[in-house]
Amino acid sequence: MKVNSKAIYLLVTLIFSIIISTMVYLFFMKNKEPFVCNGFVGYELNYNDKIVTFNINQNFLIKNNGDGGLILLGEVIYGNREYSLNRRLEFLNRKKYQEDFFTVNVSGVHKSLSDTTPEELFRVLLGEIIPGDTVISLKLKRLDDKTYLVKNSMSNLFVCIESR
Amino acid sequence: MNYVIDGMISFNTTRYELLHIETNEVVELVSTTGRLLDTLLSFGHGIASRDYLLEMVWDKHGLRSSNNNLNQYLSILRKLLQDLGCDDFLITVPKLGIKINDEIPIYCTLSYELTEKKMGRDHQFGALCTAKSLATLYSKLMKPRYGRNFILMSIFIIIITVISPLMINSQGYTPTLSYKMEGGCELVFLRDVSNKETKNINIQIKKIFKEHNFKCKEDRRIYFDYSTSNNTRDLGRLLISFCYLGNKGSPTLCDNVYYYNWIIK
Repeated sequence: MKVNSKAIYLLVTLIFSIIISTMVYLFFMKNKEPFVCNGFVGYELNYNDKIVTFNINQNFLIKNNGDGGLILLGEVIYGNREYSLNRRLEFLNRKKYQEDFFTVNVSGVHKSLSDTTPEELFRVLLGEIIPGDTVISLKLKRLDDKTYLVKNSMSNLFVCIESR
Repeated sequence: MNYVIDGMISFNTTRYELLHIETNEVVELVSTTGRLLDTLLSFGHGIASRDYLLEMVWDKHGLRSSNNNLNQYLSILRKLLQDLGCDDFLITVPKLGIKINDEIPIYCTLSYELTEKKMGRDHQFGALCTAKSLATLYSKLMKPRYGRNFILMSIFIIIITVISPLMINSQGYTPTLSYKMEGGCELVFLRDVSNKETKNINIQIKKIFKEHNFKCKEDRRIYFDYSTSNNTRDLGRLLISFCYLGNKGSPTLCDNVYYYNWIIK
């Protein structure tokens, strides 16, 4: 069978291109900066039939290796009392299912020394962010160039702006 | 192989055809005439002895040779080429032999069709017909050459396969439903809503605006969604984001309000 030299050339070009493009892709993935997204949220939740308000700055971080976290910084108002909130939820082992959908294990909640929020009030907020036990399914929907909607399996949580 | 005589006549050594390049007039030669012309051309402008010509054209092919035969066919050749516009093609060198007139340029190519296809329509004919130049020409022609379309296709494939991972990496925007509110701000629903829902929701949104002292202006965008409620008295979990747009029309800052259960007012 006579070998078509043009076909061989095309095949070699295609294979070479695939190799180069794979290297380019891996390079970009490896050197990708962590995803950091920030948004201010005023949560109006319910505790013991009373409104509890959380006015917090939320900083959402996902690193390349799948670890990350959610920083909650602000104030909590319940009745006529105000508390300060300064906590960090730590995520481990992000499992990515699609480009914008993944689950994370909440490996811990760290409380800063300046945090004065009672645990029972914080658990109200935590219950909204983590509907399950320690595993959250999160979805990141891109709304605009740097604008993302963060949602869990139950509801939309907040709109944040990516900082690069 | 092809010879080009005087820039206007092509001689194909396989088919023994003379082709007038401009008029496309073709003259088929009998094999003896063809062999004679081929042998003379292989000398370029060198002198071919009569004995050599008799041997190559007749003896080697089992034919009886004679000087009369040779003279006759030389005369036929001269006439043929003269009719095609090439005068004084052959010169008799006394006691030495026959040669092609020095003033008539002779070029050779491997094949007229082959070279035209491989080198393009405007190619110039190859080198003078020496053994070295023929070998060079052959190797140049036999090197793979690819047309412009083929090269463009290769470049296109390379670009597509290099760019495509970068395209995969960048997410597209989530399709949403949006419209302008009174005041100029853009209201974006984060899911599909019916026209009936839109009317009811607008009323609630305006109440939320009032509660948070939010002014609807052109440089602002509102993202809105709520969870499905099991009754008509409330909208369930509700998220509304008041976003401020930058110069490029994209949000630069968003203030979110999350209601555990928004009761319809």
